Amino acid sequence: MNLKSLSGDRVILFLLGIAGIMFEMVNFSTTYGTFLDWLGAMTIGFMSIPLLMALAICMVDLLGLVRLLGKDSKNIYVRIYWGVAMTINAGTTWYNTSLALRSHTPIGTAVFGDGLSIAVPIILALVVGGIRWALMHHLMHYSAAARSSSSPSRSTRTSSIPSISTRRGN
Amino acid sequence: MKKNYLETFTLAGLFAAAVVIEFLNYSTTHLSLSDLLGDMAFGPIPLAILLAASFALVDTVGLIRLIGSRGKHIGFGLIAAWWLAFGLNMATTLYAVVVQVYSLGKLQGAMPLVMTLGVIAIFAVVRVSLMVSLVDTNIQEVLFGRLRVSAEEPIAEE
Repeated sequence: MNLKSLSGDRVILFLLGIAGIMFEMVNFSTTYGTFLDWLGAMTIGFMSIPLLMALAICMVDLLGLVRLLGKDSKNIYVRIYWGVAMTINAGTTWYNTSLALRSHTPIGTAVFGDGLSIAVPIILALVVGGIRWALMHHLMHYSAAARSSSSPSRSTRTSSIPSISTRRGN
Repeated sequence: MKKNYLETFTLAGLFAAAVVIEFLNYSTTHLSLSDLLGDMAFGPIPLAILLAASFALVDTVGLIRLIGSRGKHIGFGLIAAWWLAFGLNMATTLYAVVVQVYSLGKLQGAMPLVMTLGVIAIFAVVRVSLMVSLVDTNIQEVLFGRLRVSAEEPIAEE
């Protein structure tokens, strides 16, 4: 992968970044909704505990993402905590969607029956989690390719130093 | 020269069709998720809009990447994401059409449901065919993400 193709991929990366941010917003919202349902209006001082929990989990998720796209892509601990945060997010997506489906009656229930309220949360959680995992896999592959393409240019720069010193010597 | 003009015209037509289908996808996904998720929201933004936009974006990015990938390698990740978004779009299109037909009071008996399923299946086949013709490759390559690799561009280790 050369540098020209990397710069051409910026639009793709930008669009994937927007999609990633929107998925993160969905994750935050569902995690907050779930903890709000479990913990109610628990607070520490003026801060709501469900809000703190949702923020913490989303921050761990984002931190893992950033570190996995950097030089820590092979680090097993980073992979584990990102995996745990992603699994919690998928779980809360499932839980909160189930709650939403039980709090009102969608028109589709009349056609597809009560199975809809079981199937939809599972499908949605799996698809959102699956897309996030797949995009992460793609971006890790991309960042590894970008690193491998940038390293030869550095070595070229380093190899040009002796020629300069030779010129000085002459 | 005339052939090239015709090819460009055909490609532009196919691309326009893909854009229109993307709008349709967004619309049906939004409609379905609005019905299913109700008033779930991130602040003032409904989750149905966020999710529909995300799925449409992933779908579009997958399409753009595949169209612009002639001779390059595409990893499994983007292909998998594209297939997941595609599958969900198909499911939400089915849901939206069924709900709409039911709302109009025309869904009585199994026949309209079978017809709707048939239409959705045809739509899916048209969509994949469109994708294959735009990417200018064969179905196996689109299915499994093993596109041609040019000699100048080495594949990075996954």
